[in-house]
Amino acid sequence: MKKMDFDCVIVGAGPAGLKASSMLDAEGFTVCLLEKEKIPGGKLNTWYELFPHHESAQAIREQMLAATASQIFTSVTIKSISRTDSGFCVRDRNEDEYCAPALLIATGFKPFDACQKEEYGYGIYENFITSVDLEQMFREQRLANAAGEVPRKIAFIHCVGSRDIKVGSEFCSANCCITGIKQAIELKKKIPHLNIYCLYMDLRLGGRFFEDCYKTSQVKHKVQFIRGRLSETNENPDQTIILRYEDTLAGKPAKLTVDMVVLLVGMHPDPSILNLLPDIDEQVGSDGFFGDGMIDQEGQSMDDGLFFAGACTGPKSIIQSTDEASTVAFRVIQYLKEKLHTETEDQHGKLWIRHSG
Amino acid sequence: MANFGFGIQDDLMIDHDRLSPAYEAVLEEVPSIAACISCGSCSGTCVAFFQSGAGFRKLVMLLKNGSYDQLQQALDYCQFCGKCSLVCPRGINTRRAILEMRKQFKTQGHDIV
Repeated sequence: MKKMDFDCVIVGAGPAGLKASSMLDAEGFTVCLLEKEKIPGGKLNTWYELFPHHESAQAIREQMLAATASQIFTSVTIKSISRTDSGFCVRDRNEDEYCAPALLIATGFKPFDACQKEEYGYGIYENFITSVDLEQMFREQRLANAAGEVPRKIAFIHCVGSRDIKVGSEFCSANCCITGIKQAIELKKKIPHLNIYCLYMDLRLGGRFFEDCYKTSQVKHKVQFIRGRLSETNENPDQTIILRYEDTLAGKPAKLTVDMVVLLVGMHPDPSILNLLPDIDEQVGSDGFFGDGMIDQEGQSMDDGLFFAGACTGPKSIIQSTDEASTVAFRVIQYLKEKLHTETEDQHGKLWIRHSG
Repeated sequence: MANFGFGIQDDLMIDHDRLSPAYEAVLEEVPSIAACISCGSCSGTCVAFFQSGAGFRKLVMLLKNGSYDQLQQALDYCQFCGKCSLVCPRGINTRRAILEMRKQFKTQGHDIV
């Protein structure tokens, strides 16, 4: 049991946490990152290539780790977080204490548990995988169905666990459409004769270069897009899957048999940190993510030392997470300067001088 | 054709497992038809829509889904005015595509009545 003091404690060493820590480092603040997994990097350890430019997730992870000089504590399970006179104290399972005037939560999201969509059959039929499982397959270079054969027909199902009141998430996860298209392109590059079908409700490709990806997948890679939400599935004796849905552009029910189904799971809020944070209720939106998502800066000027960044404040891509982390890091810096420094003037003009206490 | 006093119904269900050789053939000649996003701007501007009941996006859909009978009937009414190609946001060569479809089914076409 030991007590360690920092200027800022960041919970979560994913893209947002790492980005914020590197910015705080650069300003000379001492920062510690607490990570529950064995290695830092967050979801970058899960992904293979990143949309829209197919950059290697591993390379981006190395880059972000190299950019930070903060102390990273891994395999940390937080037991309690308490507010003290001088800020926050985070206590872990080993009773070690990490204390700082500022606490930045960057705990990210958790992928939707596809077993909840029982009618689809994830966890029941072996040839159902999620987009997260597929990333793992890419990383392990093992693209095969349950029988170990290279698939010939694959269907991507959009909006699994998104825009669905039946699983309690009526929001759009914003990143699954492009994830599906990116994965379809990667699959076609690795298995050229593969037939890929995407069953979508809407394609929401708001990001820069996303539409390019979409058009490339259609024209160059011949990915077929079918408008209609999957209704039900059945398994054939040979473990192929029959999908039933409406082709809503034709206005008729339709069916399709495939070797494998990839469910594009949505991004859900991770509530595990919620129970630990004091007086947090008013800072959680109706969708379960932190913050209110307002443009109004009124609330942000009343910073009380508790900050949020990354996908814990709503579904975000990696670039959106790091962008937000930069903005939040700036606010943390302002807050710490006010809290830790006294302003003194000398013959050169204004200078910030650090308090020793 | 003999009149038996009843019609043959269209397929009630679309079978996406059934291949569409005509679609593959047209796609080979006009790869841009793969870029169709079914926005419907072609149907909105089509001069023959009230005769054919199908704009360009529906022709592509019928071709893809293998509904060849319906497609051939609709194809007949195209006047090749090219308005659909003017409004297409994906820049599809619609006239060329319709011409290729006609070649596939060897239809002659007729005037709007």
